[in-house]
Amino acid sequence: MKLRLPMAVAISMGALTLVAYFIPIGPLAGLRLLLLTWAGALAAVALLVGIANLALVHLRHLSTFRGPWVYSLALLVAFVLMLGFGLLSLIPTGLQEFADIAAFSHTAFHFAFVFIQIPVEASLAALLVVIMVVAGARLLRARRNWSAVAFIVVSLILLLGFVTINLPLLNALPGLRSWIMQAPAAGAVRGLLLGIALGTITTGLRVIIGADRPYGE
Amino acid sequence: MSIADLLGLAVGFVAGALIVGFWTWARRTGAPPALRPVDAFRDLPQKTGESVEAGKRIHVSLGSGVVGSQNTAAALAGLTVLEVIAAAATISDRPPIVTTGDGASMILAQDTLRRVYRRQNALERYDHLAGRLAGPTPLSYAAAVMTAQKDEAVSTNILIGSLGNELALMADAGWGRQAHQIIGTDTPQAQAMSYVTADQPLIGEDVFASGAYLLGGNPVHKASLQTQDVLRVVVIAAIVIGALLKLVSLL
Repeated sequence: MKLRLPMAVAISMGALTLVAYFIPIGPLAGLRLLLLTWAGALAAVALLVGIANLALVHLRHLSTFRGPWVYSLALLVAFVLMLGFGLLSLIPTGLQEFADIAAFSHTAFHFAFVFIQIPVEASLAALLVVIMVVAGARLLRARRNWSAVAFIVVSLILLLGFVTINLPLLNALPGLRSWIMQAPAAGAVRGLLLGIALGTITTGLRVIIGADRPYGE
Repeated sequence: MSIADLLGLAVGFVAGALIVGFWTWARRTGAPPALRPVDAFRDLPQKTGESVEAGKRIHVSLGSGVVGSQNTAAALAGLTVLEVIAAAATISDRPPIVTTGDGASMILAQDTLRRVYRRQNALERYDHLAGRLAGPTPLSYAAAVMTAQKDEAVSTNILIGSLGNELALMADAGWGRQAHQIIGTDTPQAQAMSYVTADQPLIGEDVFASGAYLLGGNPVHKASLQTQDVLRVVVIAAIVIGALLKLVSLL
């Protein structure tokens, strides 16, 4: 009984949302929209719980001086500052006595995003190129089979196919690169996408028919 | 309501009916279908056992996809793997840690861990911070996981969930620690990266087959794999017929 109620709610809501997606008429469409709005609100609350959990993890690191606790300290200080700036920037513009604080907080909040968060994430993203090159070089050592060799050869053809210098040896490569991208690579990606879509459909249906219960025993 | 909508609904109903049909058939006959070997799933119990014996930690990543979006299925697949690993590793001095980039999947991960500990009468050993949100954006999540692998002495890295290009950063950190890495994602680009960086990548829809391979041959998971195969044949037939009709200018 303890599980039957959540199971019944999950199954009926899942089935309703699915049917309403394909038959968006009258009350069904409204109900679907309502359920999705609730789901969005719950996801936002879950994110807040997650952020609190993140702070607790780093508080524990800090309290036990475990691992690189300095990073945890930096995270917590940044967390408190950003939370403070974020909340203070929400002060209504009508309150004249707090107008300066609200403006400063808004600027600081914006500054931290534009000049700290975005450049740091962009730098990390740039590292991906180096990591992929190194990983590609490691691949032949880790996996000596025909598919690893094919992966390296195709990668080289694609990279060399972008070279703009006019060398007789490389003249055929742009055409080859284009064919690889349009025929085998596009076909393989579409095949993967179809497989992933089928997997997603059956996983979702298992939840809807109550065979998979991520929400309890 | 368009024909495409009707077709979509029909596919949903037929797929649901097929899962129930194959499931019922397997329960009646007691003969679920045999599965082709997948190295990652075959070796997972052994790698988990080795980590437990060596007193090392297993890290499970559910990715940074949001539960409730199109990434939900991949996160659910990750939760299935987590359940199996947690059941085998609860006795370890270093129980597994789970990281996610989404609040809802973090709650689901904590619930899964708690359920496993309760089932094994070891609830006092459950640590609610073992399931954690590492970072709310994909790259901050990757950065946090890179350092967590070092801090938590991770020896086995299982990244199964909705992961994008950031998985290369996490996998590279794992490689630096000589951790055994199993990676399965739901995006083709990330799957290409996992082929290069993982010891055992899960390609295509293998990531969704975790339950069939790991949960003691769970019949409903096997039934859903059979359903996938039926749908796959239908899709292939539709593509071939469509191409032929196009070839003879009938489409």
